[in-house]
Amino acid sequence: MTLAEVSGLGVSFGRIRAVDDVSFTVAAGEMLGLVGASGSGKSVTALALMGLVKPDRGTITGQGRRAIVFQNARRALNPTRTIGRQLADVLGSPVRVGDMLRRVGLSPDRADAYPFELSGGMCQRVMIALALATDPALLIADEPTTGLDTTVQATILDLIADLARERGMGTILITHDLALAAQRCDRIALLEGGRLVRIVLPGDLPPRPVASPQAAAPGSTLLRVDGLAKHYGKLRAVDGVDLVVREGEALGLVGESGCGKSTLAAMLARLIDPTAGRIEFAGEDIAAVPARRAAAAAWRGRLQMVVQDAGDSLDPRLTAAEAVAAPLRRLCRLSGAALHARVAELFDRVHLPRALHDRLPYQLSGGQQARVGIARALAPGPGFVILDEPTAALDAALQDAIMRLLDDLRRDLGVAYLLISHDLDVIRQLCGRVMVMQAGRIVEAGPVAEVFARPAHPHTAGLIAAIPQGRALRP
Amino acid sequence: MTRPLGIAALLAIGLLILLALIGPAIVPHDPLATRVASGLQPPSAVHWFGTDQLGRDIFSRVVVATRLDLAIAASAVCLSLVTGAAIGAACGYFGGVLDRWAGRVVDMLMAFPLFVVAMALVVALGNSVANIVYATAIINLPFYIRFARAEVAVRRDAGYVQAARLGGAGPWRIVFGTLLPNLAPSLAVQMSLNLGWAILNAAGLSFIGLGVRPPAAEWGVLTAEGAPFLISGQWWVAVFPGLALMGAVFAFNLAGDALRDLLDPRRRTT
Amino acid sequence: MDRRDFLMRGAGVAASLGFAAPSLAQGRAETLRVLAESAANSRDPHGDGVNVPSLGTFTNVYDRLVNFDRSEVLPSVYRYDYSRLIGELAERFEEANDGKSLVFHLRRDATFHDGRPVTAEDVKWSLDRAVSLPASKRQLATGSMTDPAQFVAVDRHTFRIDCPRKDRYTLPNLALTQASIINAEEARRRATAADPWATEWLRNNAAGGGAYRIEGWTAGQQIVYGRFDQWKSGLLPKIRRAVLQVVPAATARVASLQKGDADIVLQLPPKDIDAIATDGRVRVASIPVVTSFRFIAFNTQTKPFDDVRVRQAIAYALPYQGMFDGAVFGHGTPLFGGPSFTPAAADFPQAMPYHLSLEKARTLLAEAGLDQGFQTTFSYNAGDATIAEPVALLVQEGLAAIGIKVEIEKVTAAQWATRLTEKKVPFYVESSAAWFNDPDYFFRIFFQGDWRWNFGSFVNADLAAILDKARWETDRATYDRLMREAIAIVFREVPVALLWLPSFEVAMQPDVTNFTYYIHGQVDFRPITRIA
Repeated sequence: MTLAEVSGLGVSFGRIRAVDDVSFTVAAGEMLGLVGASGSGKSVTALALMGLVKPDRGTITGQGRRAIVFQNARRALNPTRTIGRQLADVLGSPVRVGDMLRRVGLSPDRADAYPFELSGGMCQRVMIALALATDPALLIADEPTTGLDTTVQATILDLIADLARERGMGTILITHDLALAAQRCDRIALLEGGRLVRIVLPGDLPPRPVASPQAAAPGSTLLRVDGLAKHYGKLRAVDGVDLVVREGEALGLVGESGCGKSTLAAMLARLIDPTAGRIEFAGEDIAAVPARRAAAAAWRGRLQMVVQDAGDSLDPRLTAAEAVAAPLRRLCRLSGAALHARVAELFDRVHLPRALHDRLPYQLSGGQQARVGIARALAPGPGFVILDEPTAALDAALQDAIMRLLDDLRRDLGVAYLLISHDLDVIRQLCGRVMVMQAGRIVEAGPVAEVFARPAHPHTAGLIAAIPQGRALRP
Repeated sequence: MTRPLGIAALLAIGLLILLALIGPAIVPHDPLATRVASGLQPPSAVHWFGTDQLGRDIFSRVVVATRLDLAIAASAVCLSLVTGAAIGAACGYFGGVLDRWAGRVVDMLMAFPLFVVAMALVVALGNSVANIVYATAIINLPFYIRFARAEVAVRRDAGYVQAARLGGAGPWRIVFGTLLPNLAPSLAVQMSLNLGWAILNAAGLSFIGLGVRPPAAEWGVLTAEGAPFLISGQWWVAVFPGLALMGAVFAFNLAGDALRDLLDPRRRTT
Repeated sequence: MDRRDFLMRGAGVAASLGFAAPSLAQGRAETLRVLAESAANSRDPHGDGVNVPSLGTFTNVYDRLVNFDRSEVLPSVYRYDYSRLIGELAERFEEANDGKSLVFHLRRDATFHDGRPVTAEDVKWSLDRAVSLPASKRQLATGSMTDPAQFVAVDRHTFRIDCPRKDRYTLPNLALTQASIINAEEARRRATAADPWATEWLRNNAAGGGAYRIEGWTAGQQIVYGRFDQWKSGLLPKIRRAVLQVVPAATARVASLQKGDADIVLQLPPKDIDAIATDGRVRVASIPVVTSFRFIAFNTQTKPFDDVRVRQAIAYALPYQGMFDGAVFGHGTPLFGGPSFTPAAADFPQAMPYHLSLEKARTLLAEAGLDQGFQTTFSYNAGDATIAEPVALLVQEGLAAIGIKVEIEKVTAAQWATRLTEKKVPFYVESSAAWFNDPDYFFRIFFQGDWRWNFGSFVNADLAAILDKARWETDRATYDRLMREAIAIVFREVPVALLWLPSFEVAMQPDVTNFTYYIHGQVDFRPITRIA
């Protein structure tokens, strides 16, 4: 039974055609994937289906109620009301609240909690409960896994699939992750630039190219860390970490959110001071210098970091060129022509066209911002760069490009990486060795291929199992 | 806040600045020239705002006063903004002892009605225009300190601050080179809102006899000179300076609102 | 309180008001409400630091041996007559001993407020006190009264004062409040070894026998006077109850009067006088005053004002008419533009022979070597601002025309007296008054001595010699001649430039009659009546 039929849909905002001639159908019991890069029109299509935007062309027909689960659940919930109340608002009475919560896998005594007291995954479950409370025939899930850990992503998607099956709902899964869609959906509609490219079956998709990192010749020890710890009162964010990074190698660090990887990275980059432990960089004890004086240290230029969230990491007032030039001025004391030359060189290296030199951050796309961040980190010619979730906010296509760039740079410049990510695929593609972190400690370490094929620690096993199957790991 | 209102406010401010710059050159009568024989004349074709007790043309005096009032307010606000923003930013970024003590001083200052503090300062420091500027600047400090502190505290862990530290920028360079410039637009909005208040403050102090000395023309002084005449029927001596004062304060407040809406539509008041 | 109670009480209040209304209306003919800008600060007529409003209190609450007679200057408005004295506590009085003694026969029926009869003992104790306490002593010394030995209680009702020589100022001094008679027994009870004259107690308590008692005293705000029904020293006053209320803002006082909330209002702002006079609801009486004057003073002991040519130059450059019109709106008698440097009459103040002439001013400045002009400060008392500020502005503008750059300095009221006493003000505007009309009295106070009333810090040997002679001169013609010489000196030397004689203005309800003006400018309730 067709639940919805979209025909020749067109939606414009002023002069911008967000959706341009899109047609598809959704049947009861099937999961349709809407896949495309950001800006491809997937969310606007969903909003049109919900009647939240008015199309200026085409038709949408269908029967039965529709419900939508938005991205970023916590922000979509009312922060000043308990989730029980919000559910009751939709249900019309508080009677079935406990049931609904149980159905989405939450304990009923969570009804008195406020959204800020719940984790991201729990909030997403509440959103699903809210959507289900209206007893819809069609459920639209817009990037339901944004901001969630891989294990949690899997459980949420399983939940949606179970509920759909149980109630005979049709679902539309909107995502930028093609592999995810391939794993979960019955059919996939590919969107690009507001247009429908084609509708495919998962089996028709070409396999993703897999590059395996060449075995790097082990160089001498560049960074040695002994017993590093960071305690905030009783909380042990990092609880005794040892690691070694060799020249030119790429070391991966994986773990779920909250395991302490960002804290570890901040300590290594000397942005915060450790509570205990030793950090030796190129033979020098860099933990001896307190973090607030680190900017003036001699080794500052040789140990750099690409900060998470490229957009936030760029000073809104500085153009791309100025952002890259700043460390050159400060750390390398370059000026004038020499400075301009080096900036141009860096831009070329990260494949940023000259035209973007004088753009301000808000005028750059996500991918361009990421490249500027990388260029800036590489500017003073570091031997070691920490990369904190470099691909987290990027589309699949962009992720590929950035990963290739990082790989090339490492080979060309001989830079060592510490690559932090929750995305095992990224680690696998770029790194030679990997460490797994849990609750402030390293629970497993070793060469990437081995750890992934035969994980020794149960936590590692759990992480690997949560990877969407579309990205089959090849040995 | 509608656009026409915002534009009107900006035009009004433009007019005020113009008058401040060229006012003394274009007034029809010498603002200091007395002609007692034509004292206390009501508004007429010759004297648009009438004359005061000593026969001085009130229109000319009101226009000439624009310069003094704007100069006092602008200097006070600039002084306050620069000092307050610097202190506040340092407090927000470094925290610690500096922040604690600055916080206490600010709290102490704000425990008193600020106009009374200004009065006390002018009396203590001496009765002069410069001291009005300093007093007004001092009582405005808490406002900027708190604002800058809050804005910096929010931004100090931002990605670009970390990036700046990685790029070799020391803490002072970060506060003054990265954080404060990023606050500049918001500070500009606060400044505009503040100017109206500063003008009122300066006029208030002069109204009660502190600071500006005769025969200088300043809206507060002019209003004070005219106040005793209200009850005997010569309303123009006080009303026109009062209207000028009101208009200026209103214009600056509206302009500040308009600027704020421009910079952050989410904070609109209407 | 619930609603029922409230209504009941309200009804009760309304009822009692209703009954009270007729009696209130009756009382209006016998009550008087006066509004002034400040109130008395002491109840001790011989005390230190008493302000001018206190003199009004003393006049009503205490008696003196004699008082000035009065003459009508406007319909039913009177002014004291300096030349005629009548008895108050004294039934009659005469000279004795070639005029070196004065004998007073006291009323037999006069009593103090507590009922005790007034005797010569009280008079002696009071005058002994007066010449022992500094403020009153200074004043009575101008009448040759300095030593308690001069005061003799001959018997219970006869009192004599002996002076070393006949002094025409003795009797007038006895009419001033500094010679008030105090209830000696009551005061003596509060005397202590450290304070034999009971100054502490008398500052805050009246012990008098005058026509009124003090029934209420809120310092700085309100004084309520009640008639002393047993008063014998004159006709029993018609006003039973008088209230003096402080209302600092002149405009508020005027408004109250026009609304009918006040009966007499003092210290009217000059600009309002004309407006009120044309307002038919109230009556304004304008009385010329000959013993006070408004002037601009130079410190003749400091440069550049030590050069008479500079002073004369400035005297020729002052915008007199502008100041007269702009500051007091023409209310008063001008003291500028006089006919000649040689005075025809011997009374003082009289018009100085200076008028606005920039040419003469510039010539004089050039002679003094200051044709380039100079810079100076012109000061005034902030409490005097209503008149002084326009004067200052006009002086600044006027002197700019001859190259003198004037900076205006506004001195707070609290500091003004000190600054003048310390002679630290080079150039300023002030006004002052003398108790007595005799010109030599004027000169001795204002043109010699090192006290603050020598406003120009003037020192002139010729003048000192003339004044010594004139003080005791009994021959009218000689006296006049001497005074004309003195006046000529002051005209030439111009230590102060006279501006005008102020007039005294009082506004009252039309039914108030017999207002009598005394030198202190306060309200004497005793003669006042209200036409029903």
